[in-house]
Amino acid sequence: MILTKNFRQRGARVYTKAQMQMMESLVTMFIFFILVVFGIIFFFKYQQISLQEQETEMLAQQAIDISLTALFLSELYCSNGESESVDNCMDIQKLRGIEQFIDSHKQDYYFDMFGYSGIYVHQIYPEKRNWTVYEQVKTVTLENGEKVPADKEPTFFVITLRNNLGLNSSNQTVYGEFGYGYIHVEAYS
Amino acid sequence: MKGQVTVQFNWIYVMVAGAAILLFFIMIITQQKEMSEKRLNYKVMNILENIFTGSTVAENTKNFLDTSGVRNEVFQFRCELDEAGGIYDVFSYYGISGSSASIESPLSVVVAPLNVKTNKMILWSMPYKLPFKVMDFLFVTSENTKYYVVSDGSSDFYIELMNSTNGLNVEFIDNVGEVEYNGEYHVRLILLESGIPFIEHEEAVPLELSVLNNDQVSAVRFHDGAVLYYVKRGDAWYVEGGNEGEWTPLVSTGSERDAVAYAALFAGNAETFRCNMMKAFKRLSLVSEVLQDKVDLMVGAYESREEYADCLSILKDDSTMYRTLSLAAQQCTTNYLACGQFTLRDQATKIYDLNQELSAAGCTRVY
Repeated sequence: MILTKNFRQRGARVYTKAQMQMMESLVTMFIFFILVVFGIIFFFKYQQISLQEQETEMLAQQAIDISLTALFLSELYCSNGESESVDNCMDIQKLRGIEQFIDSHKQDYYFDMFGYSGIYVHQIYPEKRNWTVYEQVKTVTLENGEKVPADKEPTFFVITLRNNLGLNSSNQTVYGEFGYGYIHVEAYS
Repeated sequence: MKGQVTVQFNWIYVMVAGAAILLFFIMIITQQKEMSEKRLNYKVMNILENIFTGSTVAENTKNFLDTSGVRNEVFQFRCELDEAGGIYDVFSYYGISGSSASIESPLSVVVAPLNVKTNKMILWSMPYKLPFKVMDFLFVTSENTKYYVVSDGSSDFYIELMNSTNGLNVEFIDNVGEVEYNGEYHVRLILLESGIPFIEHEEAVPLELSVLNNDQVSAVRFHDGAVLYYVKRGDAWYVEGGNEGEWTPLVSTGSERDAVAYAALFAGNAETFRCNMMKAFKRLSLVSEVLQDKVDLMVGAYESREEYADCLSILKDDSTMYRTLSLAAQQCTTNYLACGQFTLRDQATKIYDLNQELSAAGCTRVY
């Protein structure tokens, strides 16, 4: 078949038009997928930030849970015989040996209760005294190999401290059964 | 012709490409839906854990929790002892059935039916004392768990239950024949002390309850300071543990608002009750040790002060009773039935008497 010049020109125009249409479709789809990818990236970034916020919230909640548990710990609370116990109060006589006691039972009991946290009791009146009830620091290893404590969330509660025996840290007699101070709880992330 | 083929090809191409894109989005949506459900379950369990912690420390209080948002979820509460029957390797958790969202509770005592599915959960905290406060028990039940207290009215516990169970779905009846079923999720019969047992092994269950699933009905019988659990199998009651069954002793001082009795009442089965009690014994062994240290400190302080000679003589009468209690409680953590519950009760009574004596003499009490 002999193709005339006109026919060849017409064919070329048809082919070019078809190619352009195909390119149009391809480009449209390409841009569409780019937009979808942008959308997905944006969504996952948002999720990541949202998860970080949730993690911070959970850490704060964990700190409160540990504080509540420590405040109402049967090993330390101020009992009152058969009556209701004294609220927000710790018995100094029980505090004296508590660090060693809890340390000796950390692996089999108290770690399950308090996890990675620190519980410290500070007396302000009538004299400044400090007790470490529980401590298990969580460390993270930095890129340079250095170990540093992980992020922590501190909480504080004011408490009274009952001194039934009326003896201070030097075993001298003091007056007044109740002192006051605060409990300081640090929960590690 | 060529045009026709081109047009048809375009449409096929569009449909295939469209289907592929749709499938891609459906896949993402399905994945996101599953992840959202999982995340929601974990969030629910975290919130529940926080609520349980708060409820536990608020002792002697009942909290009513609106769970209508998760009314279709089944919450399960399990406490399983290790192979030797101790709590060394206890498997204790509560969570949403059919999902991995669960909270392990190897230390806290959470006593509940095995499964709870409800619009309203009821949380009740009560201190366990032996005789000093050991820890708080948290009882979990629901508005659609029905309790029938069956008694001839002579039991003290019956009168106590009438006053203490406000807000719970409890009905007091004279005999098992009066049991009705009104669509509850679970029915528990509480059979108090009586001359003749209200139900027996292999006896028929009430007609109203026979149509229910086996796990929707249970019973617990109180007798002579111990409890026996019954399960429903088909139309009959069966004692847990076989024909004679194993009575589970209640280790407590038997005073009013005895947390142990209430724990037996709410526990899903005998194993759950014993498992939770053994957690309490473990805690008892630790708290007793702390109090023993306090006693030693008091003895040391009084020895150098003449004005406390009376207090010293009272304390020195038996200055190691807390340690004895601690050791006895430790034994109880290895096997409940081998536990010397009479030793625990006797020691608890001695400790109580000592504390009363100290109080009467104007001395500082140990607890």
